[in-house]
Amino acid sequence: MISRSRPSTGPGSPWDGEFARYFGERAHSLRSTAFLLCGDWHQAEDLTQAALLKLYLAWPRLSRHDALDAYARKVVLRTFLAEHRRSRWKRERLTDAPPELPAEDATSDQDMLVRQALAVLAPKQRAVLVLRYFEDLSVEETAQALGCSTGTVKSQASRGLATLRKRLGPHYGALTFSATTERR
Amino acid sequence: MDPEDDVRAFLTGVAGGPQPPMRLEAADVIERGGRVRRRRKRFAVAGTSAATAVVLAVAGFLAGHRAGPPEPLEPAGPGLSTVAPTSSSPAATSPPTDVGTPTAVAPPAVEPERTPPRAQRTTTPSAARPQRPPTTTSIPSRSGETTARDVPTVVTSR
Repeated sequence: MISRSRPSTGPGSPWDGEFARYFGERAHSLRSTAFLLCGDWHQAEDLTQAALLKLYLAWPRLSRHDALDAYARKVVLRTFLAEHRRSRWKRERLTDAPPELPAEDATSDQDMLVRQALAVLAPKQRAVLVLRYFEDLSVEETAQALGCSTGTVKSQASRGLATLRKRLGPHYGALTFSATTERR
Repeated sequence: MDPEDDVRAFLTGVAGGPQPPMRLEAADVIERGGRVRRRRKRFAVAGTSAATAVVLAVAGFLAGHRAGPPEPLEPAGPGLSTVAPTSSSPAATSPPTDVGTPTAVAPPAVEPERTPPRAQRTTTPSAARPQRPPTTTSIPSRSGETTARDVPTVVTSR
């Protein structure tokens, strides 16, 4: 993975190889988690990069390398929440030129519906749903990752599910049906 | 079917669908991380140097102020110490009035066996600093307390 020829930036760290191996194994799943959190692949990649950079910088200080997945997930989550919190203060310039529009990726209507429904949720509710139902974490693990109480996780999950169901409306049944048939 | 399973199913469907190719590479992250580490190290060195310089400057400033200029040494008023023993003599009354003649204070003529050491002390300031004889003699002569203090010490030492 590091074999790509690049201008040398000085002596590498002793943990570069270990980090590159972990990157190869886990970067895609981290990007999927980030995508569910933010709803955009490009932003998800930025989130993943920021999180992996933090992970790289913290690598020599990590005492338990067996719990790296949980740590990396937590970093992605915190980075997403911090980005969302900071978005009010982002310095963006108004311009009359149209922004670069991302190319439409080949997604089904159902995926679009789910994405739009997820985008309506508050960031923390979305994070709870992703951790609980995509990452299959327990309530306690989710609370630990988010730094809140288990009661908060339960209430946020309940509210998030209700909002999702309400937002999807009549499509909810069709979505669940198609999802179960796809799994089979 | 459990509603939680439904959500689980369509979340997996969304994230597991067609994905764009990954543009991110480990080498990019490692390169950026190396840059960040080097920058942090440089900042740490610069910060430590600046802090050390500030601490040294403050310490030097404080040390310089604490030492300060030495207080001017006042010459002992030796002539007045001999005033008391010679207070009965007629020559003892003359020093307060005659400021510029410290030799008149010492009465070697009255008690030659006592006064020589004190007479030497009276003459030394005037000899060492010829430009300030009036001040050396006038200060003790004006203050009565100093003379009263000095008198017993001289007498008891002898």
